[in-house]
Amino acid sequence: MKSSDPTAALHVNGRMVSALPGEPLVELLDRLGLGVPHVCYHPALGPIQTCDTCLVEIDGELQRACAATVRDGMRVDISSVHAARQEAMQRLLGNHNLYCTICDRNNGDCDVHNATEALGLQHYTYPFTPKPYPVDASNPFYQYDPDQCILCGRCVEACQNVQVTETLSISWEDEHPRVKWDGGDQIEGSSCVSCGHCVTVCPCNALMEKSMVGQAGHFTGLPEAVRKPSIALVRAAEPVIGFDPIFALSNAEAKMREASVKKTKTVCTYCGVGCSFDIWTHERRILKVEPTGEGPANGISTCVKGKFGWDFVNSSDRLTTPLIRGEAAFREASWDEALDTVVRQMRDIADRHGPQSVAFIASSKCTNEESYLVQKIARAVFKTNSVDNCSRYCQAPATIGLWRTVGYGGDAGTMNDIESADLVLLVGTNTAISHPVLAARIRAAQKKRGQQIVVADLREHEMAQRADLFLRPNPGTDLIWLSAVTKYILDQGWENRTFLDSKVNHESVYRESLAPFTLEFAEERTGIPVETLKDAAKRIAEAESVCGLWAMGVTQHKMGSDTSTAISNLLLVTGNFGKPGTGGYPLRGHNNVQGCSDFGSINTFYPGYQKVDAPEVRQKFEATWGVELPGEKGLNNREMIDAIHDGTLKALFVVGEELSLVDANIHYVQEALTQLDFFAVQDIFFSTTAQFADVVLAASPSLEKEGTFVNTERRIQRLYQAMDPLPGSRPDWVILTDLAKRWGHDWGYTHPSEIMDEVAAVTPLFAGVTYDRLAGYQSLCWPVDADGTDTPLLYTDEFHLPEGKARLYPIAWTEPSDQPDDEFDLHLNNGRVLEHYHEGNLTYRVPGIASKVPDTYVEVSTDLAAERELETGDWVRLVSRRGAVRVRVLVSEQVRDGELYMPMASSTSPINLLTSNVTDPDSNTPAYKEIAVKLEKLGERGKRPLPKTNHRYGNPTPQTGVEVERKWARADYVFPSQSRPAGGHI
Amino acid sequence: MAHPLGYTRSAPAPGVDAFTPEDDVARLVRTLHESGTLRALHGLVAQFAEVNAVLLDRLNTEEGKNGLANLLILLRGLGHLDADGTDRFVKALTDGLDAAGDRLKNDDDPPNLIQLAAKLRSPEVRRGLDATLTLIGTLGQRLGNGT
Repeated sequence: MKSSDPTAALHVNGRMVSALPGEPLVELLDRLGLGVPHVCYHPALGPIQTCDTCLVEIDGELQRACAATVRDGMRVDISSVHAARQEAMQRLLGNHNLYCTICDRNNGDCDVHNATEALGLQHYTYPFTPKPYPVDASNPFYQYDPDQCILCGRCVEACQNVQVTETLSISWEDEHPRVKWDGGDQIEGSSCVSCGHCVTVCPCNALMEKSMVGQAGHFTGLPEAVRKPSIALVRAAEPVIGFDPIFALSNAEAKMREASVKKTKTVCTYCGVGCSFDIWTHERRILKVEPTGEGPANGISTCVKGKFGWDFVNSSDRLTTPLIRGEAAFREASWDEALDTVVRQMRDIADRHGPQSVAFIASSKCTNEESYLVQKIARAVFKTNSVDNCSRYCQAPATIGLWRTVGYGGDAGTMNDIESADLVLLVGTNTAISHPVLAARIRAAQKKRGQQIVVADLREHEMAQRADLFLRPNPGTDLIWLSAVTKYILDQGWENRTFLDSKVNHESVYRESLAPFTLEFAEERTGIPVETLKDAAKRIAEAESVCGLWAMGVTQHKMGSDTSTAISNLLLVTGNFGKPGTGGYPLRGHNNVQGCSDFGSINTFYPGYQKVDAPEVRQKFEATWGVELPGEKGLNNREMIDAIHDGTLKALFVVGEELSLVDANIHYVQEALTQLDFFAVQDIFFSTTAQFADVVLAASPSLEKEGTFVNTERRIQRLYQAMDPLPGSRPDWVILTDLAKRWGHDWGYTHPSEIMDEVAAVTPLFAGVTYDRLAGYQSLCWPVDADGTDTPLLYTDEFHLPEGKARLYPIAWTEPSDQPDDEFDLHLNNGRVLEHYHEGNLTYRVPGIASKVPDTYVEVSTDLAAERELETGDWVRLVSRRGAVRVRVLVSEQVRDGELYMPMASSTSPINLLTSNVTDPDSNTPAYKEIAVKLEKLGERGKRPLPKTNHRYGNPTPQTGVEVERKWARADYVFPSQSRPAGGHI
Repeated sequence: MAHPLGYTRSAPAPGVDAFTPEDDVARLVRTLHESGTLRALHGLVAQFAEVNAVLLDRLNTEEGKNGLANLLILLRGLGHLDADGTDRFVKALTDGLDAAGDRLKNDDDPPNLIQLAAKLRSPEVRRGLDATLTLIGTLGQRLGNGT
């Protein structure tokens, strides 16, 4: 509490206390340490009011402290209602068997255990009665034990109002209420997306990660034949000895666990949301992922991949030794031999053919420090700026759009701004799939406070289904409708005149460029009716604050940079930059795709976007690194492939990048890889790309090392080492440091923090970044001043352009490439699925995820399927002008006639057998989303490619929350000032 | 030309088994060392005969042998008792002792014979006396039989 905050004075147990008005009373009592335990209250969920254990007397009346807020003059008495709290707790225990010592949840954090103990209970008043339902273990990741469920409803609240999948509810009207999935008894087959929110917030062991079961405790792995009698024995002793000795034993056992269960803060290694959480491990065994609520991007939230997608770390095909190409196969080699081979070969090639004959590709899965080392090796050791990363494949156009208009190539604000916006515009992003936790925050804002969602996409995916307005443009025409809407706003005089006059340049030339974008032209080319465009314009212009979000549906087009620019232009015209709840947000794909460029693995910039062709910058780095540096621009990813074909690029070093599958037109890419004189790959698996290598170096994933990632918000976060590197593998930064030393550059790093210190010293953008300032769950959004002040919201004072003002940037529309014709008559869209990440190298190694989505497929509309006599499971061949893939059909309501959708998660039928070499001229990003194909029926039928149990086929049960009023309406519920009626169940 | 090649691994990656029983033993030894337990154990083992002699010397007295025998008899007897009955008896005994203690602490004059006789009208007192006399009677009977 700051001294300037208003305070309320209240009496608590006769003592005068100051607090913030409106603060939940239960939190104040917690802070005062007054011993009012509670079970259903969770700070991230707010008052649920199901457990009644926090009853207090407020101004003479018995009330739940969780539902009361602090106000001036209130009188709170705790001591007088102890019996009522005990009665409430006894009712919960009637639904919960206390066998703590052999419970996997006995880790000191079980709210049921702790509240029972704190209330001083010694015996069951209402004997525990099993419910007439079995344990549900149908989901691959978690289980529900109705016998242990106290019906607190935290899980329901989290599902309904935090994740907003709206799957869970409680059957309050049943004689024995229980948690339901889509109103039924089984998890699998419901709309549950396995995000894990329910498990995370469960106060006891009713909902539990399967990875915990039988693993967390010293005695929890007992065979059932021993476990059941053990529980019976404790139950027999309890009436005699009371709870105290039982708790003494379980508390002692919980203490013992602390010696073997390690809790390590880490940052998710999948998408760009940047969820952070504790990962619980017992040596190499991953027990669970536990969001603590401290994660600045995610709070208590996760998605299926972040919560349950870590089995790849212990996969049996992890590389445990370097490999060297042999005659017919790779052979295992020592680290010395492998590293010396890399050093010798690359040095020889550079010496013979010059510095431009070698190039490096860094990994967006690796840390910032590792990105820094890759570019430092390229520049300081090999004197080349030919270093890049996979942002070239996805995010570079968005960055260019922002550079042109506002200055910084990053999100304008944070997810808090997106959450607080009046209106969120989603263009070419299936956020629920690609950035699930962000989507949850948007859904929650819509459900709880009516945030408007406007979606533009080819598919009617989940966010489109939830949208207040859904625009469905023809493929590759986003730039047109965006510009038409902007023009209409200006024509109507709905622009933010004050903002434009004071903060934006080049309005007149921009207005002129909009002339072709009439609503009629837009309707003709995009297929979006004029009235819908007007509706969109009105909503955007009238909203108090707008955030514009976009992703690969925008960027992976021939005009990706221009469409990104169009979004930024629209936001500028409506004054939506520089204030809370506004801004442009290119949703970064990989966990560290932002940071990989930020820290210099990009051909045109040193770390912090300091230009390689700026003499003063180069001199600074020369002085710091003690070497001469090249001034000319290097090659980007796509140019590297061209240069291999041209014969000028001879050696390539790739860190953790599956470019032989994820780069466009992989016929062209793989052919290039066969032509290299030397190719080194550093990866955790023997990837498809590694098959082309001469040397493969066995690296370690994020859980086995320290470092930092930058998420889509420009937020820098630390990850800590959860386990030792798998024997035989090494962290990337260790390998890179070793290689540099063998190349004669002994940088002497012993910890990634030393690398960060070096970066901060030469990079104004990160001047104040230190590991100390990032300790634990602390984070910093760049730019970070030397004193540690960071910048969650950009452009509050001025724009990051020389004149301090934003620029409206004129753009024109160009036809997309690879359009359908009579032969190639269908447009093939492509992207992600919720369960898998990218090509699936990590997620297919998670058995639970692989069971959910075993393979890729092609989604075909109902009408097209009828026309071509196709059914789900039919094998078809998709043929583009470059190649063909064989996939199974999934008949879908989400795509429309003439359009198909294919998930990119496949190494056997990769989408990039079909994509072309066409790129956006401004960023060189491939036009992945521009593919025309013909569909050939193969006359074979296989299994459904997507099991019927997938969440897509569920039937959610939206509710306002746990709906506790229905509990209170039960005949067997009376306020805990009285005893429970005989025969009651709750 | 570097055509794609395969790799047949010599052994699967150990995964969770990378942490071996030997690692567990090594960690246990380290913990035992750091906690001083190993030092104590070493002392015990190195001086086993002497330590044994000291312990046996203590145990091999009349009191020691009686104590050991009584402990064993008590444990055997407790195993035959019904837990509920014992619980009620012990609880009653505890409460009775508490009440008796309170009476002893009382500063009032001691009760006269009439007042004591009046207490016999209380059914609780009579039930307590009955239980006590039954216990005494049974003890006398068993001890008389030599059982």
